Amino acid sequence: MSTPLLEVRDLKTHFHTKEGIAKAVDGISFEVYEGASFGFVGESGCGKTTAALSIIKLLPENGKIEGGQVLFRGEDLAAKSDEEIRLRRWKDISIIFQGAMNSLNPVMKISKQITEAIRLHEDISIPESRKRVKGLFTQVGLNPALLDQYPHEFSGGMKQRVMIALALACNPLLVIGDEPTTALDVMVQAQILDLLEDLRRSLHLATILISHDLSVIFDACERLAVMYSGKIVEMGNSREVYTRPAHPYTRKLVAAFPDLELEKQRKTGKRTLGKSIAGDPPNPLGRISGCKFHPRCEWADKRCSEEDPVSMEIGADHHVFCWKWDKIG
Amino acid sequence: MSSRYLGNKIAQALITIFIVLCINFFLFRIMPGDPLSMLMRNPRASQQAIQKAKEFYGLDQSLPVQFGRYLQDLLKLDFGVSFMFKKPVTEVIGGKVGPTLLLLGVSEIMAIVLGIYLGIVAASHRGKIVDIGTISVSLLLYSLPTFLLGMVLILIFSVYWGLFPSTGMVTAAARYATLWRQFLDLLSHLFLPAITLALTLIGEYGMLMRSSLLEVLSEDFIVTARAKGLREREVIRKHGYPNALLPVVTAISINLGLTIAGAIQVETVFSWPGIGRLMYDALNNRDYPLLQGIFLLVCICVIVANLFSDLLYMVLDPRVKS
Repeated sequence: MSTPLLEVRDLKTHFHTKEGIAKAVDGISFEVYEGASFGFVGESGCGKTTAALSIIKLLPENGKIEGGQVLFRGEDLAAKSDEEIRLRRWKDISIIFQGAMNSLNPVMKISKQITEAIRLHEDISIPESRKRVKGLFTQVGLNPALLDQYPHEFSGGMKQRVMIALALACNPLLVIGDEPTTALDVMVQAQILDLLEDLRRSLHLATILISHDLSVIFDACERLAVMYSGKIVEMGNSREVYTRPAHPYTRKLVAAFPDLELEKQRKTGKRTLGKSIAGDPPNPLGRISGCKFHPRCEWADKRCSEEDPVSMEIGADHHVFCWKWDKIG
Repeated sequence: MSSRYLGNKIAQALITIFIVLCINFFLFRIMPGDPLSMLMRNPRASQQAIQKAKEFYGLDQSLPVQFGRYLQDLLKLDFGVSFMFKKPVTEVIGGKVGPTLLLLGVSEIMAIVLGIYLGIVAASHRGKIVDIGTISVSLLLYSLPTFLLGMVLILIFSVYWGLFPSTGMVTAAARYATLWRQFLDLLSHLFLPAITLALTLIGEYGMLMRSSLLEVLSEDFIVTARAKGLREREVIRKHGYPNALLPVVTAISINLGLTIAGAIQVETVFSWPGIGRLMYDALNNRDYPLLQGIFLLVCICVIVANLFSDLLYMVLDPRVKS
């Protein structure tokens, strides 16, 4: 493993709301290596998107980084001013949003939306930037003749490809994919994930993928972090985490996978749905002492409700934040 | 594609105008009362004279024939003769179109520019004092009846301070040394009615622009624009305005047609010699041909304004074409 491109240390991002402070990201640390893929997985509202957007300070007005470091090639981005960050956005770190939704301006030509980003960070002419957009279109499998269309003329999968072309426009080192395949049908989802994987290898990109879909992250990322209520509960090599999930939450997530032997189920007439996890996700404004998961955890004891679990290395590149991981059968 | 859309819209407008024509014709025929007794005003008119008048106005014919004649006359732009003025309706209306266009043009332009500006200012200071102040003032202006606002302004500017005249478009029987003086006189007469009309519209357009811009600024593509590294100002200008203006443009162009009728109150309060005032007088004097003519004009204005807004939308929003 090479040097980390991105090293996040004890990052805390809070939202100040009328009802109180929501600790969306509550002290997380992780590394992303050059040219490697990293994934965040967790329920909606667990803080995975906020964690990723904090890297380039792309937070809503009431969101603020309260502590920690975001070291990008050794430079602390969290300490930089908004203006300095603005100039780094897209050039070093770009984002693939849910293109199928409303992430493209409906009244602006697609070519314009991409050249705008290029010309913002580089001093090149319009014809030259258009030439690059044509190249990008080919790269992501779109017909360059469609350059001057508007977003509504594209299908969901095509829009997602446009988003990818847009993200690659300034040759970034790190691309963050925020639910890049959500709202796409399964076939298109697989195509988009394959495309991302190909591009990552050929361009030596580092990627951070965010998804609530465990299968997407296991499939597409070499390393991953499972988040719960603003904290990372388990992190490490994807295969390692999948085959030996240690944290009770991760175990339940893996167990909640629907059984794919559908044919057998249909024949026997019995359908086993994935097991759901009892209880509700915690209120983001609430204060839970100790391990955030303890109210929903059947193995929790007194210590779990009092002391924050610390990182425990339980294998090669496999960390878990749980007091009881070795006591669970 | 787009020429078909255009053709569709124009055909729709023409059909609507035809329906308005029919209503305009039959509405007055099914009203109780005999137009002849109104026309003759003389209970002892001879049978011959009545017959003559009947023939003159075409009332001896059956309704379908009358309707056919009415349409024929309309094609020749003949709207009949006004009872009140004893002159062709076209001539009477024609003399009043200028003042109304002047009043509406000036106040609409003021309202559009200031209203949109206020909406932008409010939206970009969301939740702060500036925003709350702008909303309150806009709401107050929007909900205030025009005639009340007009009378308050007359009280303040004409009665207490004596700054501006309160009636008419020119000073009666005035002679002007220069054209410039004449222009200034017109401006001072125009000031109060134009401000009255503009203020209510500013409230409306301001509220509209504010809510539209706020809605657009919460869209995902605004986050994309920020992520690209655009300055906040550029994000709002390049990605916010073009989208936020869409609903505002529609509202304004539909409003353009309606303000012509809405000017009745302002023109009456300020005795402005325009279409609104004329309609008020025509109503008071039961001048049916004139009313019919004005109704038709207002309807056509509303329909044309709608058509205009559709066409403008086609230019502004690429999604409409397909």
